[in-house]
Amino acid sequence: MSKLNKIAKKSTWVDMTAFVDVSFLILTFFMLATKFKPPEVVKIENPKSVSSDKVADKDVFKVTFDNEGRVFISFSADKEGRENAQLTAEVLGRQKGLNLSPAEISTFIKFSAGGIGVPVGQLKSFLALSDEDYKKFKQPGIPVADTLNNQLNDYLNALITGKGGKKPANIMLNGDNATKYPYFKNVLTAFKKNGIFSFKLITAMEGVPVGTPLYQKHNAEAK
Amino acid sequence: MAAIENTSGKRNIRIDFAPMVDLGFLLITFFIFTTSLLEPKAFGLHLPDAGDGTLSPLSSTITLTMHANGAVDYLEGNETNVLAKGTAFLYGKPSLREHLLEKRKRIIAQTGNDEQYTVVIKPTAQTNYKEVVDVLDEMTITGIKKYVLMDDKP
Repeated sequence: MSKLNKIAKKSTWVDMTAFVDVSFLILTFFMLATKFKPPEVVKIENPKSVSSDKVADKDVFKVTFDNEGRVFISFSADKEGRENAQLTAEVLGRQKGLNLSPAEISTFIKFSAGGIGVPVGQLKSFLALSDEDYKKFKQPGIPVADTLNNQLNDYLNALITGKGGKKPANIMLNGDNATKYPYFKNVLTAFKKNGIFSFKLITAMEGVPVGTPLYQKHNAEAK
Repeated sequence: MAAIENTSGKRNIRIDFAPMVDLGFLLITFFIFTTSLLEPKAFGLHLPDAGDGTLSPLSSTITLTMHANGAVDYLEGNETNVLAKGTAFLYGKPSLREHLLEKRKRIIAQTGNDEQYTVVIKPTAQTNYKEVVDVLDEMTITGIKKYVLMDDKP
């Protein structure tokens, strides 16, 4: 500093206070606006729709299918979601003779927040994975392609039987843009078989095209 | 700041805020990357229960067979009694939306209302999920109340 001072006549000190103010203001905004995404094992690009309904985040049962046609089920991490996951694991274990231990059932609950996509036969060995291995493991997806061996049906049946015939409050379908229709159809077939006729598709928002009947309706409501 | 300098008088108390700014922006960057401002939206879909179904008048029914890349074959009437047929596109011209709106005008001109206007959507094996959702979305956009998602029988 002393050397520098001899050369430089003026101090180059910048008052950073205002800068700090601004940066923390922005920081606060982002902290408040952030909602952490739950860990997902698959990358899904949702289609767009003009719908503006909010996606429920409590008591959610979600079926995900990616562009390769791999199907996953997941439950929300709240109390109802965990209960549903537990019931599914218990009933599925009983129906398929998997002999799941309480530890394996609690692993099922833990993994189900991120997504479970293995055939029923592989479920027991899948539940032996550690948390790190779960993230690395490329799950084959629940087989749905064969109509006689639509295992999503088994999972759904276990869930609904476990809940005593009741359906989960929020059933969501999370599909990828590039998935071919037959996979979607097979998921629908499993839904229909279990008496699920009403559910929601997860989509990204899109503006309503100008001049269409829906646009005019929205305008009329706004007035 | 000035007040502090004057009262203490002895030393010039100045804190270097640069590291704080660094830290602040580091955190901002982190939150920017983790934030998803665009929340996903839910799109309700109701499937019909298997049953006898209802018949809709021939002149008010249009069947859309979906092919790849948003190409849609439309067929007015039914297979044995074709009133009109052709191809429209979801993402191009001739636009499917315009055709559906024009069809409604014809139905209203014929029967006075569009209560019976029914659209049958038949995706095929080449259809992407995106296109299926876009066609269903098209129903919301054009305000069509009766539409069915059906398999294309080979």
